[in-house]
Amino acid sequence: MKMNGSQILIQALIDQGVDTIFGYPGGSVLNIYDALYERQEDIRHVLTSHEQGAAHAADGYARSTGKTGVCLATSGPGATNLVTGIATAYMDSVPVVAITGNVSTDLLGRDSFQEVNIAGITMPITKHNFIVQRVEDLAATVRKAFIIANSGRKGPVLIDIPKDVTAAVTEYVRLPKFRIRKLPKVDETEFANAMEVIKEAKRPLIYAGGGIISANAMRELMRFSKQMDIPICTSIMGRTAVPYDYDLYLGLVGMHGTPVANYATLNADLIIAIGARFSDRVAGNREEFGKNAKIIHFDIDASEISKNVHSDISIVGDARYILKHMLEVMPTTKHTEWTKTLKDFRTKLGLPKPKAGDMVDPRDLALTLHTIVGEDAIIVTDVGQHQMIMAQYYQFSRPRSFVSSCGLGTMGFGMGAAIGAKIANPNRPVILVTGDGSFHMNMNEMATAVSEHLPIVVLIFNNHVLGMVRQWQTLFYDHRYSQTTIDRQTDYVKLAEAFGGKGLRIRTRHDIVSVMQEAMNSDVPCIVDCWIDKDDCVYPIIPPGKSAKDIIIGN
Amino acid sequence: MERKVLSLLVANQFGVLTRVSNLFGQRGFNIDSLAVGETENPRFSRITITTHGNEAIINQIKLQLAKLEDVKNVMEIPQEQLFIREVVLVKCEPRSTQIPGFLHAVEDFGGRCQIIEGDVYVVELTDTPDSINFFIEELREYRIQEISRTGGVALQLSKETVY
Repeated sequence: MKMNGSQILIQALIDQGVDTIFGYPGGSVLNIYDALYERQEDIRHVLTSHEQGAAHAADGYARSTGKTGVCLATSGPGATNLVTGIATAYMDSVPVVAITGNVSTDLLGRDSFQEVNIAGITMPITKHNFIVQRVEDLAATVRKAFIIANSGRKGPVLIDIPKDVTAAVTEYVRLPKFRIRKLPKVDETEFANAMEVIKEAKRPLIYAGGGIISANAMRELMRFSKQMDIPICTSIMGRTAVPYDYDLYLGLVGMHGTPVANYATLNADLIIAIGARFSDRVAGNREEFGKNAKIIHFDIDASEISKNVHSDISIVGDARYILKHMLEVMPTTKHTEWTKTLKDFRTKLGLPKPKAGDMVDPRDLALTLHTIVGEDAIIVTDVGQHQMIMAQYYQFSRPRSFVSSCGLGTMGFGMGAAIGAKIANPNRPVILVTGDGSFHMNMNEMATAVSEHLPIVVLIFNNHVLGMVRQWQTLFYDHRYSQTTIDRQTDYVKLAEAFGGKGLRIRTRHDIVSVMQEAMNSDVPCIVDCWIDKDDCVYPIIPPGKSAKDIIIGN
Repeated sequence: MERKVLSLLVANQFGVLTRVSNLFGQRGFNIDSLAVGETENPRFSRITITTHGNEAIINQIKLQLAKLEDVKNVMEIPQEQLFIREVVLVKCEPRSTQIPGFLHAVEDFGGRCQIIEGDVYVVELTDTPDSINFFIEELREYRIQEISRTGGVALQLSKETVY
């Protein structure tokens, strides 16, 4: 059948299993939007307020489901507005396909109106990108983008399509839905070596990352940990790889990790990293991290091996495959003394307790929130203190229920991501926990949430300051609060109403339950302005560049 | 730090060179020289990169390069099997009294010489990058006006191929 490039694009997306795209129209994508108009029944287009919101929404959609998120923007500023969202997805290995229109091929390279070289701009923040020069290549390129985004370590791919290509007509040939590329073969000798080392370890520790969730290896991880009696700590990306109440779960490791997880890294004789990348927020001091331990690194991305921290043994492969293999060959063991040491340590020294008093302590809220919103809820965050507190205290019991920009640390991520998560999971509560700083960055997406009838709850930890930066100024810059006392005069209740949503306020801890329940019952997006103390700091903290020995336990 | 020569087989597409050189810039790796050209198969080009760094860095470079979609294969050519050649063109303007010495030096290195006008010569030499460095030092006294080097191209002296 003859079709034009735009019709082919939409059909090819549908062929690859796409039912939702997030985007914003413009000059270079007029043909594509015209094709979308014809196919409204087959593909849902979510119109955001800003292209950045569309990119984050595609990301939130992908993180909360494991499916590929798709966003669409016009050339020039439309394309550059996607950049932060693409970089966010890249850093956290989220499968996203970003589609941009561009000026016609005869105008390319002439600084035409709304022209940028988006392929050049996104080269370092995509797994790969394409400029489609011929309409005949379009369908195959779309399919290839999905293959690349989902194969091996996942990540974003960008397809840039000049306007004339979206209008050109060719014969459309349907391609099958993408299949991911075969995984690299596990090196059996190295694997056998690793197993010997694990068997011999007296004080082993699992350090699990986002790779567990990407590989859907949560069950295998738990079974392995139980079978061999090995405690687990996680990176923030791996936060929902283990349910909060698992006996051998030590919590987050690294900068704002639990005392016991960090203590364990100092005292373990073996660290088994699975789908984790030893980022500077985990291994602040690369030389010191796990210095007393052997390190075994399992990762799907060969270039992660010994990139940050040197590993003694490494296996490149899919986490689930490796864990399954280990479950078959490994014995049942006990490390009674080691696990008892850790459990005793944890009892003595846990995370800081919420402070008493009328004022809301965000820890208190984080700890009790699941009882109000339910096990099913998806918690989305922005970036800052609120994010760390949710990661530390919220009682996650399901994988993919924590959606957060961990690697790039993108303030303003939350509104778009919450929209994406809610659209992908219409029957689950979606709560965006944010700060007054982050919220102000992309609150325009409230308009999207209202238009799309998405009853998300936006819980703003409002301390009138940029809490995390201020905290560093408190600790490392002699209380010189340069530009962090934002003190916006925004009335969040009125703001919510102005957008067509609902606004509520939590002034003291006594308001929490009733207000949150009311928010949960709202059938329109609801902003909850929750007042908290501006001087509250996230503890523990390992100062940047330091090791677990330098942990500041705090109050 | 040892010099290492990497041979990359890449898709013959525009943007490949940018992707490869960007990766070096982005991750703070060094490029001492880079040469690129088509292979016998028009679908592929070969990029030869001379770089340096300790073993861990060279490993990272190879693994990061291998992740690029357009890079089909990356190989580090072992020192003992390295066959590397570079072409240099040097424009010199020896004083008239120096000309016999100049011509002799060029001949010694196996270079070829062309006179363009007056006493201006263009010298051409194909040799290893080290010999070329040495050659350039020799020519300094003959008033070098311009130099253009290709960067090394290399193959492994064995039956192995990068495919």
